[in-house]
Amino acid sequence: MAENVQAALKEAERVVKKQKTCASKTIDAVDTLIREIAAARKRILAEQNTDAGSVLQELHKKLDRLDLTSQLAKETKDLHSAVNKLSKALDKAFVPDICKASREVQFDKGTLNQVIAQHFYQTGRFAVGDTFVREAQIPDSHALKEPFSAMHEILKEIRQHNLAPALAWAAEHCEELAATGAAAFEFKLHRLQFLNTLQQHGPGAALQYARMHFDAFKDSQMAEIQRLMGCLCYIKRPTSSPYADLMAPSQWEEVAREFARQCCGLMGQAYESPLLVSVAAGTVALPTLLKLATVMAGQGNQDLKTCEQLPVELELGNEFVFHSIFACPVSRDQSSPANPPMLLPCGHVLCEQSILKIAKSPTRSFKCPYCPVEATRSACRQIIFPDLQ
Amino acid sequence: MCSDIDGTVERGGDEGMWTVGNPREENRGALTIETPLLKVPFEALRRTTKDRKYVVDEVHVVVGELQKHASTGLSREQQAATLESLVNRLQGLKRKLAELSTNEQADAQRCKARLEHLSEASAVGRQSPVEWSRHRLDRILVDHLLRSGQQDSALQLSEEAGLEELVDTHIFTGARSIVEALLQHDCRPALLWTAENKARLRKIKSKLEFKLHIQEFIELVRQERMSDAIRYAREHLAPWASSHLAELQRALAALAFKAHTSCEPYSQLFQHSQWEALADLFCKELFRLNCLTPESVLAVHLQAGLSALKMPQSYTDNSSKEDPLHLQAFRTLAEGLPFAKHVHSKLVCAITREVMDEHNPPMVMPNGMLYSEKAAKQICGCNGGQFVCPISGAVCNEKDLRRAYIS
Repeated sequence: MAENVQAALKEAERVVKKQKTCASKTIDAVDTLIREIAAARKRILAEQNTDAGSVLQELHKKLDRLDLTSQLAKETKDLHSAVNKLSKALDKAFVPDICKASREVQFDKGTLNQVIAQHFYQTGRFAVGDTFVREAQIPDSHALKEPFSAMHEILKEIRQHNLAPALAWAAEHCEELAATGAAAFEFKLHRLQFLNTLQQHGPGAALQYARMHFDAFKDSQMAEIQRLMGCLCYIKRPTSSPYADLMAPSQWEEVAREFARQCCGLMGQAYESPLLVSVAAGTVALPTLLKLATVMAGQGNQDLKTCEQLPVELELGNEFVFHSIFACPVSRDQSSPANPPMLLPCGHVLCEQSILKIAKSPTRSFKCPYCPVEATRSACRQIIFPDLQ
Repeated sequence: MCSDIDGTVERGGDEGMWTVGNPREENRGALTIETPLLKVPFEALRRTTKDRKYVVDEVHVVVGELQKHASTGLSREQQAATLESLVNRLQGLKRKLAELSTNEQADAQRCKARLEHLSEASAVGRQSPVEWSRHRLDRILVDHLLRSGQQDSALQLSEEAGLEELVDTHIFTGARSIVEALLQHDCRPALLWTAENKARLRKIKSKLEFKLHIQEFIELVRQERMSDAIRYAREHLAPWASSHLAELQRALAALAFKAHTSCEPYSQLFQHSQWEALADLFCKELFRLNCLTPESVLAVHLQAGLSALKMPQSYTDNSSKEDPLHLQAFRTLAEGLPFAKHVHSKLVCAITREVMDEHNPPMVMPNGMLYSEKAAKQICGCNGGQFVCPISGAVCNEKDLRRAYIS
């Protein structure tokens, strides 16, 4: 696909070039015409003893010699053919219409505006967000902005290599963090602060910092603390030491990301803006849906615009899997509370309905459809897929 | 290995759960849906080059006239005067050509810049759809904001994100004031706009101008200026008789009813909601004229994305908060959209948040809870061989965990 875009780009470059020469040559030709005709007129008026007809004839001869008209025609034609070539290249690189798979549903304006406003605030575009909230007249916008403004203040400081506000935040929320199993995050901040101190103020200050702050983590993070102490010895040659990874500047960006994740988590917000995630899913789904719309348009028995469920499975990628999905390999149905997945003694998993169908009675044994092991209905065990929190 | 029982078992083994297509491969189509980005500047470019051809033809006509002119026996002064008029015409054409060139150049440049952007960005697109969309979303949002009349936000965002070459703000210059005027019951700016774009609107068979004139006529009737209304109708509505006779007759019949009538369909003509309909129609025609998609690109993507994400599990109370459909706002937006289809299993570990596969297979506790092997090893490692279920609190021995085979 990228090759087609490249090809179109080449054509576009050609058009830009062609347009430039065409424009300047056309203007030149018209200018010459104007100049010659004006000169002829001047001669007719000024030279009373020259015959007007002969002046005109000279003009014609000159214009014929310059051959302006065919030059004009050629330039225009060349530009046209360049534009046509670009048109063909674009047709090849892009689908004709991206709306073909869409339904006639109108999104609720208020809800959509709210989602957009939250996206601006979550991604740190506060100025744009404020303008938007004013223009779209969103009520109660403060509630949308407030949680993210504190977060982005701290993020800004982290990016300027100042960890103090982040450390204060982590200390303040240390119990909540521990409850979500993220107690290590506070240590990560201290670790980076230690390394920063080491680079800025030397091993003495770093050691002092370690004495002050690492004590609380000595049970959970001993191995890492030992490694940090080890790196004190290599301060003179940080790039060639076995601890070079600790000094990588990418650490800051990583900590910033981790902070945003923890902070959003505690606020009950998603880490990635939900609008972004939805649009990203749309980006992946759309090419397939458009192809589908083209194929289905010819058939007519099924309609993409009215169906309750999409007719094909879309593979979005693992970053879009938020729930465990179990599709029974026998019936192809998705499991549900009424038709739960069951584990056979051999380890294969089927939905309950399929097992009921295969096993004629509760006590009679049946063969697993996927391996030779025999099982009875009572030996099957229901499986639960715990959901992500 | 796979035996058929009662013909109900379909072979799913080979392309089972673990080998569902390569998403990165799928993502190759991502560039093909950038149609709107190119369509707008390219169609404008094509239009201008066509106009250029007309102007150049005019130049040819002038040259032709010059040739004819030589053979006629005119006086010296007359000759000079004719030449002067030809020069004047050429100067007019030159001005037009210069103007066309400026537009042509701008649109050609836009095409080039946008394609350049796409070919550079396609490298990002191969990495991850979220990263790719992070970038795209800003320009998709600018388009959406422009359409919904939030011009200031649109311009601010486009400037902040450095998108000037990638968004079509120039099309919307002046559009907001026209819409606002319409909503304040003023047709004049819209009529000026239709006059400016008369030829092109006729080509796409737009009814906008006709509708605007009908509205002006109705306003005169509302003020009971009947003779003015009739004069207006003669001048501005009559030319449309050949194409929109029925509507025209209905509007003229309103003369007999006046504004407070309750008689349908005439009362409808006097309703104030007609103004909103006009504003909508104006936007539609503006999009159509400039080859913008009728729906915003954001709406198209949201529809596709929400459908692809929508599944019954999204609607449970304790679903993942990373799922957009966990949020009420997105559930509202997803109303009326189809659910996604899933014929392949995909299990996410609640502890590690990773999708399980044959390298990290699912393990089942005696109480039926299923986690990934990685999570089991992590927890057993900390607890001396004991697995503690973080949700049910149940404890079991590492060796009591059983591997499940999901195909």
